[in-house]
Amino acid sequence: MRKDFTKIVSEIFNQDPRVMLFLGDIGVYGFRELIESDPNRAINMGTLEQAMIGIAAGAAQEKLVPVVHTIAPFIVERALEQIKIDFAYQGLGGNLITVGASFDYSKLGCTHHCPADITTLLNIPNIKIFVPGNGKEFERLFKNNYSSGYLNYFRLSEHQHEFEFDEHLPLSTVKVGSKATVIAVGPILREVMLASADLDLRIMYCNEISQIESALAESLWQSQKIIIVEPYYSGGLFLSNLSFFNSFHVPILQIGVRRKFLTEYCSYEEMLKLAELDSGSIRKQLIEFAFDGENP
Amino acid sequence: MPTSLNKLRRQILHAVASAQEGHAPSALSILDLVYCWFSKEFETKRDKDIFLLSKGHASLAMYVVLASCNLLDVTEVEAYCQKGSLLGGHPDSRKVPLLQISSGSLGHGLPIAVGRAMASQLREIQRTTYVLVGDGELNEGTNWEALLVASSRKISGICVILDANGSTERAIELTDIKIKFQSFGFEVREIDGHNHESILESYSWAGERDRSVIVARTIKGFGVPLMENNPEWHHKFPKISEIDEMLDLS
Repeated sequence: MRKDFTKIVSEIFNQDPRVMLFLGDIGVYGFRELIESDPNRAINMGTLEQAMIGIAAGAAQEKLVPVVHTIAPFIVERALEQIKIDFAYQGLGGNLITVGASFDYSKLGCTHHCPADITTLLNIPNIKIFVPGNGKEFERLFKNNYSSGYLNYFRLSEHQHEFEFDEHLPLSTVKVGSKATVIAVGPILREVMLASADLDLRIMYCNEISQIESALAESLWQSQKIIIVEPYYSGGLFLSNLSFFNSFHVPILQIGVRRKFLTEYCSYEEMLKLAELDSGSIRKQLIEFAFDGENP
Repeated sequence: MPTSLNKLRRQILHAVASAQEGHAPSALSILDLVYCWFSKEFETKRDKDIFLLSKGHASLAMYVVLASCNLLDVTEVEAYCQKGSLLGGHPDSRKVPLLQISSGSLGHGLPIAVGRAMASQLREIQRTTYVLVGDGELNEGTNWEALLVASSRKISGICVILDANGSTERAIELTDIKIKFQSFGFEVREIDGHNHESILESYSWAGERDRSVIVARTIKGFGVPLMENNPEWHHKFPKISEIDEMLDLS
């Protein structure tokens, strides 16, 4: 997804002179041509993330379209107040694009993990949050939204699913089934499909953490149980739709990264297991909840 | 003791007393600096320039000055902090765009100012972005990050107006401030922050420089002796009945 990101942002950068690129000393090699050709518009800011967000907000006040990029925790957690005040409170548009996701840097330790980004940002109004499942999805989401006037957060991951959807819908149906509805968010769709291929479950998919539209909600009303699977601390989609889900009188299970420091240094796949987000762990939870633990 | 701005000082005290909220000494500290920037004497020179107030808790100075220039309805100042009012303890630029930024949390104004200067440079707009920060506010690391960017990228058209009222000294003493700014490649001038002639002259001087700092030596609570350099009043509110006496002392 990172290569797609570089290609797509470069393409838009070259097309739209309003775009100003701020790099937190990450992705610099990928954007080296832009930095060389347009050094006042594509800038390696170094590792001063808080000021970088403030500076980008200043550029947005001057009608430019900032694109800010670095590793997730260094923007979301370190510069949270700047995101809240400089952008969101002042109603400025821009784009925060992060890499690393929950634990893509699984061998680098918890300083580089950010499973809390989505639920953290949801506490700030005026942000649109996107969790693209692959490079093609990022392309569509970024091109459709980068200059919308909103503050957009794009959560990129090195790990992606291979499903393709013809159009962007708040909720897409991936597989039909009757025992429960599973909503997978972003790249975790890969693990969800591996976990549920032979299970009588309806699988739905979304890559934007937004309000579920009423028309699409109707199909959810028919569900006896709902399971939400997210590749970060659970709760993002639920928090965005509190009143909607509260109106259901059906059990809802939320699966996400366990809320604990994942202190092991290991491969991504091993980290998925520790977080109980690998296909085996997800399958176990699906069967326990949707089929009351009985053999489906 | 200057008396020319006593009407505005009275408005500040009255607003704070009515609302039982606000930071009067901080507003009084910067009143002359704000007044001069928006004054007719500087009007022809500031052209497309912009003024950002980073120390948002001193916003009453902005409010009364803008009202005195007929850029803001004085009834809005009178409604300060009341439900439905445009003006509160910290400024909201979405309610009053003339205020430029919504400040309050410290250390946000200077990075935004650097961003605006960078964008202005990119858009080939000839202007100086003036940003007023407090010396206490300089404790925030974002200011130094922003100075680092402005310096290393040789940003032009930025002026930091430092309200040097010594309010941080009880916590972290800000020594050699001139040298600190100079080391970031800024030209520095120190002035009496209550002397209008010096202030106006320094604003013109800054407008002709790429990166400048005006270290304005001020007195917190200036013009109201009971408040001057008295930390007790930082976030304390007089009664309306006390205002005449407080100002008569001056």
